Amino acid sequence: MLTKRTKILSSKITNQTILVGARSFLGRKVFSKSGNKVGRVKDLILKKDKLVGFLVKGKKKIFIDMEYVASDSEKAIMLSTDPVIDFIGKQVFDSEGKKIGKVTDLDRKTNANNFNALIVKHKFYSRPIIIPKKDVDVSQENIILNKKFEKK
Amino acid sequence: MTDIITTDDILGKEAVDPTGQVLGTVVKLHVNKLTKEIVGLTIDLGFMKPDLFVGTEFIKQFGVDAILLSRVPTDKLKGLDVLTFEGQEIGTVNKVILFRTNIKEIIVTSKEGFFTKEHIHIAANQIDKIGGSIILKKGYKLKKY
Repeated sequence: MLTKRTKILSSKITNQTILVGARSFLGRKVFSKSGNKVGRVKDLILKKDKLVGFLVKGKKKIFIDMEYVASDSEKAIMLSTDPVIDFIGKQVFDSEGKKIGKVTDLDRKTNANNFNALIVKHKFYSRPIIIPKKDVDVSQENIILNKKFEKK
Repeated sequence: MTDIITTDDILGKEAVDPTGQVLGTVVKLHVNKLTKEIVGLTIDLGFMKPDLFVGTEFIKQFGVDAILLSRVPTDKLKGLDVLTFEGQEIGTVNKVILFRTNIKEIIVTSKEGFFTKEHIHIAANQIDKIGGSIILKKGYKLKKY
């Protein structure tokens, strides 16, 4: 942490008050756009000399790019989105209340916060069911589809 | 006849709110003995939690595996953390004040202080998002009572 007493050796920095020590980010709570706690900052990820994101540890370890950070304060980091990775493990119901199964994986083409389809299994030994993104209505605590699920 | 269901199709089923959260299990069906209409359900929310009565006006669907509700029970908000837009924790929800069936205000117990707890009243129009926590709108100014 830089204080007024800290001596500065830099040709670029003239105002030290804008600087924040990396250690102050560690342990900060990270909240998704919906207010769900994603986890705490475990590490800062740099690419050459630039901060590109955070390693956040909650139920899972996630690397979150700075593009998804809406704001940060001394206490918490607020994301501008709800991480799709959090869908894994959630239950899936259809629009008529039929329980289809649990999300075991996501069909994602890139590492962006997006998905093409949910991969759902009724039981661990069942055949996976692919549910396209357009059929997903609600995706908060669990997932509710916007249509009746029909087994093919 | 396919529209007719029995208590077997209702009791013991999970009750799911609009966010997808499984609230608990339906344990009772309430019937008006004069009009013979179903007026609501009782949901067992779990160990050490009081049961929740839900009127039929808040039931969206009697599903095959779950009963879908059309609104989030306000009791769910109690105990949720309240954060400013920037992520500063203000406190936890102590009470929810309704106007008819809509949230009018929430009363938040401040996190500051151990022996004295301050209560903060926050109007519903100051709330931005309700999810795992309650996030207030940008520019919210703290008013203490």
